[in-house]
Amino acid sequence: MNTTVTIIVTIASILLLLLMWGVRTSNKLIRLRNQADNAFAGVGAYLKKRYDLIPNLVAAAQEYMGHEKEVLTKVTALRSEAEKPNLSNEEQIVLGNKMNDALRSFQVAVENYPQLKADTHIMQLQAALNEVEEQLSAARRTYNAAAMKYNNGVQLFPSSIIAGIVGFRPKSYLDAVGAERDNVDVKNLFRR
Amino acid sequence: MDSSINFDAFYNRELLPLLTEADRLRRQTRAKNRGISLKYFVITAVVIAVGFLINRIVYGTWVHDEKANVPLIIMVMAVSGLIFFCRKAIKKNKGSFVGQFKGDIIEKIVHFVDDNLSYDPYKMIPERDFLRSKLFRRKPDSYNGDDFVSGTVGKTYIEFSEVHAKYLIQDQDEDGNSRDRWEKLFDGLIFKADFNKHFNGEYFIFTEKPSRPSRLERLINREEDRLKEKIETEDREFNRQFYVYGTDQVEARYILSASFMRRLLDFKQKTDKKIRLSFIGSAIYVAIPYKRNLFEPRYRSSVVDKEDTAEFYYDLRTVIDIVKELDLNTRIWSKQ
Repeated sequence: MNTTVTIIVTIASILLLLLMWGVRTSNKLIRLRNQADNAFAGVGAYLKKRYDLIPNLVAAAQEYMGHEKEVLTKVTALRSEAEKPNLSNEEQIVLGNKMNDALRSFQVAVENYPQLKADTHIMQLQAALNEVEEQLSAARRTYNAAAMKYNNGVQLFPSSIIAGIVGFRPKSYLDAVGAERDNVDVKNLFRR
Repeated sequence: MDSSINFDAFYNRELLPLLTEADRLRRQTRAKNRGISLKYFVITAVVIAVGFLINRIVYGTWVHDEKANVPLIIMVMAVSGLIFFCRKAIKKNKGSFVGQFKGDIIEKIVHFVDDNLSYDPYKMIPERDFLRSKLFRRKPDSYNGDDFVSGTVGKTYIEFSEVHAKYLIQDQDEDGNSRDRWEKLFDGLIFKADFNKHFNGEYFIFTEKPSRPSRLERLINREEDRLKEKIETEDREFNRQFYVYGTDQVEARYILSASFMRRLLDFKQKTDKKIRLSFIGSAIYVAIPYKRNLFEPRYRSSVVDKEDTAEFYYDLRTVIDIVKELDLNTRIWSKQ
């Protein structure tokens, strides 16, 4: 009789410990997921900040860049697309990357217009754009760091067991844009 | 061109005549101080002799075993006063030589490195800036320094000086008697510059793990943890060599761009010192510890020494070049 009680108590204790560990691990994963989501929201905020700069930039550049209408139209179209409500995270990322490329083309085009480069208003806008780009890069790196922590929790044993049971899925990383990947000084983009 | 070649030419052309003149002053100062020492030595000897003589006249013995020996007490006080005045006179003469040396030689070297910089051998980075930098957990109880350099390098305003900061500790022995003891907080150079990006939070970079107040200390001493959050960057080498703390994860990464982290790694390797950095109120503060006293001329041997003078030059370059090393002149963001 005593042996049976001992076995039951032992099993119950083990189950209780497992349950406590499961709850703890699940809470930790939720915390990490929230941190990653919060970091992603930060990326969204800086994307928005960048989109807000674009109308002014296009308006200021338009009168000088008669032959580069295509570039300006592309930038404006991408901005309008990004303004649409209910965009998924993936769509936001894709649009953000397209905008990176479009702005890069714009900056290259600016090089052909010395008058434009010397315009004070354009210079201010470029400085503001540089700042947002750098902040966006910082937000993107923060998200990737948070996503990595979360993904480690989801994919590494033993917390992966709880992640499987509760249904946590790994998050995708945000690709570094050209400037971050190549570690190029942003200064060179404008003052080559 | 190699800066050492430039310096060699500058040394031979401009500094050598000044150093020769400074050495003449050094020899004169030493001779003057030897004269002062001799004069005070003779006066002290006479005072001692007179003290004993009067004691013998008054009490009939050189030293009376039971009485107060008033003439001897007065004599000891007079000797203490003489030693004090002698040391003061010697220090004043030596200080005058050092001041002149720094005004002539160090100032010349500062202008050689960058003509826009000004030098004051007697000023220092104010204590309020030292405190504002929050580079050290403790507040100093004694703060002094010298060799203040300020001015604009390219587009960046900089200030730095040598700083000696200490704090007081009260020890208690077995009998419960307390005794004061001075502990070093920091000896070296404190550098402050206008940072090229806007930021709102406070950020810290250390090469050694800094001490932080425990929960209990925070509760009892009401000490705030100035370092806030630990920040792990994506650069593994940087994480291995630096400890980063600050208010906001995103803003910290905004300051610590990939290229800035590489530059800091290079700077650390170049200085080979336990540097500390903080980013507070739109400024960057850098603390570079030194064990030796900086920019001080020799006193007992000749100052006409190329190696010593080159050391002044390279010490100055190390700090002034922070602007270049950390690329602080790049102003492509909204802060111009």
